[in-house]
Amino acid sequence: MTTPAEPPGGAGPGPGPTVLGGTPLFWAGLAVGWAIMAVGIRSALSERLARAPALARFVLGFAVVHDFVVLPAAVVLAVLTARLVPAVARVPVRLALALSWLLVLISWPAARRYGARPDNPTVLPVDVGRNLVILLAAIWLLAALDVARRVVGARRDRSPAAGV
Amino acid sequence: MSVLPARLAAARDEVRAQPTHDDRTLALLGTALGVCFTVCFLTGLLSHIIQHPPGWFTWPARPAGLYRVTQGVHVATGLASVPLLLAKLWAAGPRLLDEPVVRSVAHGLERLSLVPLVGGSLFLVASGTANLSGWYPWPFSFPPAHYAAAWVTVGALVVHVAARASTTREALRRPDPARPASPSLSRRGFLGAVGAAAGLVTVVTVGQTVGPLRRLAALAPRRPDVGPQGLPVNKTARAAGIDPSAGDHRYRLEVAGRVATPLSLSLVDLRSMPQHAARLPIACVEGWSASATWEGVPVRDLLALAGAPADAEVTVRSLQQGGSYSSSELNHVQAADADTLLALTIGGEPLHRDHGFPVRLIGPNRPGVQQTKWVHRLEVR
Repeated sequence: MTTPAEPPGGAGPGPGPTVLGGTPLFWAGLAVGWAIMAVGIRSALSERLARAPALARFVLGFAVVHDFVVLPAAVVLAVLTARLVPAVARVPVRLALALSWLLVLISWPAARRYGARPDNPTVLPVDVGRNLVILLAAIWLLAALDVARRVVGARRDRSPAAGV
Repeated sequence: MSVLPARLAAARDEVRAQPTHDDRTLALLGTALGVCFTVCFLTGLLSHIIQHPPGWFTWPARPAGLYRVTQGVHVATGLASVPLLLAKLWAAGPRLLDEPVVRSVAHGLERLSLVPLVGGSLFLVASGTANLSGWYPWPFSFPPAHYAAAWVTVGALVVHVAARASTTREALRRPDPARPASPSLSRRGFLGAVGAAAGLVTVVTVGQTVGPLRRLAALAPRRPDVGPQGLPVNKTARAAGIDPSAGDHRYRLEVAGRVATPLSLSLVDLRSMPQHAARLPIACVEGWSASATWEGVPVRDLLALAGAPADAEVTVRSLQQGGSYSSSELNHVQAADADTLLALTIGGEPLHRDHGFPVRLIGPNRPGVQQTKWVHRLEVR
């Protein structure tokens, strides 16, 4: 296995690991950081937030779902695009996929109108779902144009007249 | 000895060596994300302190639009950090498989701190985004949960920064090696795409508070010009349980507490007092804001009429029964400001019921949730 050697200063041991490891900066940061975390935990346990265990489950759940579901799924998608999409189109297709995923993520509650209230039409007055579809269409159109540009460029590079 | 299958370990090392996953990319993304998170945390903390002021804190009444800016920046940086966060997690992904899992006590503590950092960051952006739409798919109150998670996340971020400071510094100092042309994404292309994504997310949402960009706010849950009398509403009169007869001849505004002469004023009394107009924003904690011209009686005139002391502070009470926002506080600076009004009209028209008819509080530099509607009582301290 080849992992880049950590320069001195990181939490990693670098050359010549010790059991304790870490630099003075790391230990200072750990003390300050955990003290700041304690403020949050104390706040979560206070009367204002009676559901601290549920909050902890959500926070841990996000970490677990990311590490064991979202990240592996993204890796599978990257492998699939590497196998199924021609090299010339791979970058625009991957960028379009990533941007589409991002826009769906940030607009999902509004697009699905989860927070809509019948008595208050000023909440979600815009058809975010329709706008999302338009934006996704524009992104994929741009990706298609970029693929076409790359294909034309590659053909020109391969043509006998190239470089003449 | 590696516990990973050899092919997986080789794939990890191959991916890790790519420019989109190396130390320099992580350092650049981490720096941008650190700046975004810090700005977002500080503006969020400020909003929390304004709404729950400790004894040493007096939030000024001027500049009138300051809260609009700080809360707009809070939401904008929160949304812009989503692509940065996802890109950082993607770029750092292969390191999840680093071996040995724990090399030292320090390394183990650093990796342990990544759990609240990753989980907390994702929870903050997800819960914040859901809150913009008024969607709460969890069994706890949003503001204290978001607040507590922010402290935990920032604490974990401090640990991460301390652990990675040296690596980051080195990666940013080292000259970027020239790489042969490749059909895969370059670092510049990757970071450019992430920056463009952050810009796009901002452009399609920030119009909910930046008026000139409202037509571009394709994915924003609010439009600052949509609502009765051209203003959005957070809580309607119906949702607040306000009696439809509120504001009829039986209405009285009470001014009580530390005053020489308690007052009980009808709407006619209030309309006959000198009126003052001010153009002020409603700046919602959820990031939307909109300005309007309000007219009514300055709170300080009512306090003077009742013989309140110069340093008076005021609790403003609504006809709304219960709920976190059925009352709000005016500190002595806000109470004394000429533009802190009990508004009777908006744009020259009587207030719409959903904007607080018959009387609402509107003051400069205050969160929207503290612009109490359906006011019926001022308690002076």
